[in-house]
Amino acid sequence: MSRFKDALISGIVLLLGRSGRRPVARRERPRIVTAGAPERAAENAVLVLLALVAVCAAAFVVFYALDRLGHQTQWLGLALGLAFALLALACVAIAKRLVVTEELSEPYPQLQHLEDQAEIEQIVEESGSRFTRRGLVKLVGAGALGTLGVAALTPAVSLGPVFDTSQLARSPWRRGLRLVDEAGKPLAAKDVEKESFYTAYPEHADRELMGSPVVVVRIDEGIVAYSKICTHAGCAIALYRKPTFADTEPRPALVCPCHYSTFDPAQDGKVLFGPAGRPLPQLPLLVDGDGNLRAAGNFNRAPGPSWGGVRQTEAHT
Amino acid sequence: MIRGLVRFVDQRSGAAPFVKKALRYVFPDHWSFLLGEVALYCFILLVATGVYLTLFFDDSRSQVVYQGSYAPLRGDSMSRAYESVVHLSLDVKAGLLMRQTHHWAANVFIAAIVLHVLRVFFTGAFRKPRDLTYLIGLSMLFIALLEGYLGYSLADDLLSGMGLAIGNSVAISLPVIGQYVGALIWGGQFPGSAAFWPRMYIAHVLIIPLAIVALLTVHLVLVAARHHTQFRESPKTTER
Amino acid sequence: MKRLALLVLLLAAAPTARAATPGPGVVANVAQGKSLYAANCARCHGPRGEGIHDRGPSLRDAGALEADFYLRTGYMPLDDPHSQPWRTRVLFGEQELRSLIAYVASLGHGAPIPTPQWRGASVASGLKLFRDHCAGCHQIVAQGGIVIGARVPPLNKSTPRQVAEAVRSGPYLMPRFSTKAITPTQLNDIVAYVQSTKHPDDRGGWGLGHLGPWPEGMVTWLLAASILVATCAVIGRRLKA
Repeated sequence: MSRFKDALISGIVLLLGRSGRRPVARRERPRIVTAGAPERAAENAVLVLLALVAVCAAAFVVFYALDRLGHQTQWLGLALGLAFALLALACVAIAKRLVVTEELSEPYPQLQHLEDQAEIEQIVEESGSRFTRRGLVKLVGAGALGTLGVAALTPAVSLGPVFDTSQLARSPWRRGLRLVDEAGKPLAAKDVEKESFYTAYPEHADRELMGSPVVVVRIDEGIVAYSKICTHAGCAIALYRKPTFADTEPRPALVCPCHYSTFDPAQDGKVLFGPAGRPLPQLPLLVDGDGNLRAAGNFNRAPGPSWGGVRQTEAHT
Repeated sequence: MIRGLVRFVDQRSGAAPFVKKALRYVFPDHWSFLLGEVALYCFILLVATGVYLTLFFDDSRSQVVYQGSYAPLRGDSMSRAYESVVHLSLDVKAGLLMRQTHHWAANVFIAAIVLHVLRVFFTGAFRKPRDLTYLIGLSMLFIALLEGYLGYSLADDLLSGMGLAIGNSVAISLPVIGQYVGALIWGGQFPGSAAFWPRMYIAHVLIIPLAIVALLTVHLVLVAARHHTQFRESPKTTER
Repeated sequence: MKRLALLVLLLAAAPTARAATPGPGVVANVAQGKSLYAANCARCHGPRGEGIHDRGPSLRDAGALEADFYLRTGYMPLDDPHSQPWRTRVLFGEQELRSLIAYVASLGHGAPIPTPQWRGASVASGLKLFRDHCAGCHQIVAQGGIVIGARVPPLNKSTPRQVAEAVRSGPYLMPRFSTKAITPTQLNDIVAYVQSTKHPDDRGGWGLGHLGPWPEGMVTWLLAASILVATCAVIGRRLKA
């Protein structure tokens, strides 16, 4: 026990004792950094702050270990955030009060090195002095590197079907395909009621495709179905307004939640309001023998947002 | 102790003159010069929290049925990507903290870059010989915006999906080249080929951060090599 | 005592008086309802609820469901028939409300007041249904929004009964969903979900109104950026000459 005590005491003395020693050799050189008087108050503040940092960091570990702490994320954030904030504060205190602030001036580095520039030019010139037809070499070299660059970039074309852009007008709908709801149940014509709206998909097709989802509504003229994808920027049309009292309220319309393009289901998806540049593609419908709704063909326009040539491209499977 | 460390480094790299210059680097004494540093620390935070996030995120779009701890979503079909995000946020201790830090650091990163760019522009510090530095900085702003866009698109929630749809519509709406650009990036019609998601992931996690690091290094080297600009006694114009 | 007996007699004699769930001591009085109707509603809806062109729709098939909804939210009475009804302070007392509702219900064959059994319903299923049918206008956590032609109200003040009534009747520009489109079980789930949105589980702390990127932008620029710039200003204060 006493050996341990001795070791402990000598350890502490050695550690603390070091702070007083200054190596003699260093005194011979002139000071680089300006001298400054010690500031005990600032030093104490820094010590306190650093101690608090340790406390907060430890708190973080403790909060992390706890299993059923309410608002755990906030406690963890507070502990870690405070630890960093206090560390920053300690650094600021050191910088402002303890490290001497010196005002120095220094000339800007040279704007350019004319001699070296000239020498570089000369080196390049002299290295290539054995070429007799400089212009031709430059031309052929540029051609070689240029085509090599194009060759290096060519595999990027495989990233996508760059040249087959008719893909953009693809839609899985075709004549006879049944409309099904989210759960896969066929949509019966009599189930489509006025003043409500329904989302449907082509049976057995990929629902994620741009041309898949349709909005089905029953208006005075009958049941109509339109592409659910807005022709402006491709958001899903999820809003439907219907007037409770037609005398004072606007007509039924499909509205897109992103930029509020408004389409009229009674006028072939005509744009009533908003930034959409072309009407909503309509899906022709027929009712089959079982009373279920089926597509009577593909959309009358390419579905999805507009692109150069969209008006000239037909929706196709 | 310092002596030992300095000797170790200098003997193996010859870096002592450089370190000496760095320690005595003269920095202008106006607070507005610290804005770029705010952006830098945001980036460091983003990389650090980002690495943590990659250890939990699964960039797969295959559909799963959620059976985790968040009751309102139980039984819902979602992608593995979103499920891994929900799992990290709600079931991993400090997971949400890391994700939030990443998210807010991204927002503040953009704000800090913009403020820094404004400072540089309105004090004329972008002029020759710092014009290249400025252009590199602007490129980093645009790349950072793209990076943030890809970042929130990866989570595959409602905002991600709508955002990507709109991004696709912007791409294909470009005159003349639009449909080719859109088809190239997405691999066809939106929502794109199966390869699109992993490409987005690797762009966000590797390609773009490397680009930012490379540009940032050149940017900082140029700033130090040319030295900072500095206000005159009245902080209205900068000296060369 | 004699007056009370008279009241009870009158009620017994009125065959179409249908109050919802008469609480203790509050009894609907159709006759009172009729006079309240004449004073507050007939101006737009007609003396017998037949509706007036360009002023108010017919109330013949409104039923207790719609009357209960529009009156208890304060949507009706509406000052200007061309303006959108909006939630306002209800100036009628409980007894007056019940009387008015009973009277309107007596005008035709509309639906009775629904009683959604939402406790114990599935919030998860409600979320999916709400997302598919409602979130487009009402926002995924029912914060409200707009549709072209109307503001869409947030649902934080809607009672379970009002949610059920709105779904079945489709007030103003809202679509209506019959029991075929949304079954009673599904409606219970939706109500349960709407109730859950009133106490969101914000694990991340301050929800910022649950509106997404733009309040985040506000916090970033107005709060975080300000604090950071201020910190820079404090740290980097110019040396005194």
